[in-house]
Amino acid sequence: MRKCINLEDQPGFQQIYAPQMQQAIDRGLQGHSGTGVVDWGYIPPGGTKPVKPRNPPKVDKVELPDYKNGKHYNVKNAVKLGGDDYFDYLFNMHGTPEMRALINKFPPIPIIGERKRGYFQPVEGEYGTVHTPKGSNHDIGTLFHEYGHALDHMMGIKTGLNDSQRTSLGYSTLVMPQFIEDGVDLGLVFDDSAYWEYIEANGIDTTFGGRKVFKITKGTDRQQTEEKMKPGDHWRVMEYLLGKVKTDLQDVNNAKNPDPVKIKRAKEMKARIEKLYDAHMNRVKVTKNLVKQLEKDLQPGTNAELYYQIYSVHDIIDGLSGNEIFDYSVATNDHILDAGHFPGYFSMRKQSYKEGPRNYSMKGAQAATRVEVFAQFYQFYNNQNKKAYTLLAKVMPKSAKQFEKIMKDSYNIKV
Amino acid sequence: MSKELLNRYREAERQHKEKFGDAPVFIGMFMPGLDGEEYISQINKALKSGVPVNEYDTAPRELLNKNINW
Repeated sequence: MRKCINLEDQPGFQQIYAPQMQQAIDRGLQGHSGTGVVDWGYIPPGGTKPVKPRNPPKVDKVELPDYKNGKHYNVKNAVKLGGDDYFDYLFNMHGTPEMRALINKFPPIPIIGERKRGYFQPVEGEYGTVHTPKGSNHDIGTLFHEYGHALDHMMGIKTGLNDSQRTSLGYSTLVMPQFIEDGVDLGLVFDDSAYWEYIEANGIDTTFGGRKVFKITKGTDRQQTEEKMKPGDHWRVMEYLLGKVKTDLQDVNNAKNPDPVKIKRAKEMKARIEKLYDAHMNRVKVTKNLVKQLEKDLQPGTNAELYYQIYSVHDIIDGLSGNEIFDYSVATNDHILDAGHFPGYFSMRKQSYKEGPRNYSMKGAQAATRVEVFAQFYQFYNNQNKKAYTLLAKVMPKSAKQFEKIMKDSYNIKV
Repeated sequence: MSKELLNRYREAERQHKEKFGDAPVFIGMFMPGLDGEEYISQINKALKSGVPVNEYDTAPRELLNKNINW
């Protein structure tokens, strides 16, 4: 006779680290067919044959324009930063005259061409240094984005905002309230205090689908809890809490002598957690619609720069949602955003499965949101092709209004 | 073009998860629809070598978060 045992109750089982086995179990339970039917042993299409890189990929061929003939300097407010002419060319041929006037107003910020990705390093040189790709299929968007960071920093220094706000890239603090307001209006930003209050008051001791122990002791605050969260954990805890508040209420109701105060509290917490769960699901829905609409309106075809614009909006959504849509995707395999930053960039959570957090305070996490959304606005606003900016301004009207105001005001900053 | 690249990236990511239990980790703005070839090539290397992709282990010092950059 076959004897069945519950493996999870066996001594030492929780300590076993076997990700491949666990994954196979999780997959089997979810059902490979996507129908929710448990279908063990199903072989996914494509097997495990390595994905072949294509060189060159199926994108518009990247050929540098003839920027060395100097003709691009014949435009209004031509930019000549004194470094690589290629970047002058991009500003002169793809930026607006207003953008170039602002660049020319301030001391030139060094630009270093990179083979791969771009970034802005505020502590390199007097006002920071821009690193940006040369020869990629999204050189324009990335240069404008990184230079947006650079001007955010420069204008923060010149206006004294960096000092007064004790931050770098401080000019964007002038538009952060509007970013949040639009985020609230869109349903991307909402009150999640119930989540953290519950954990602090009760702690958590669970296993996610029997996979691994997730334990937070009672009295742990938000920062300390987030510090322990790996990608995907935030959503797993959300699902756990949704079930837990129900059993909490049942428990207090079924007590020998039910305490009316405890029942009232449990009812309130259940209502708050359920409301929060609905807000999360609404955000997923809103984001799916936004992503779909964006592609429909911009019609990128095979234009990589247009895709860069679309992905930049994905990054704005990722920032405003504090990485939580990405986190949801990690936990559920429901891919919603096609671009953004990894979990932990816009939050206080771990950045990877073994790396610690990037931010140890809400201020740090919100600074990442602030500066990235600002830089995305900057690159949209200053591109000669205004189609993407017009769409963004419709989606985030308060931010667009304030952004345009502070851009106009920036011409009066004393250098 | 971008969707096709994105789908190939997702398949490479799936294989990485299958082999190592976790998704590959990249630094900076993550755009597999545009930079996917580079990511796929890193994943294929990882699948061959048995060492998962984690750019925090391999990135140059200036790209690490302790040297804050945006």
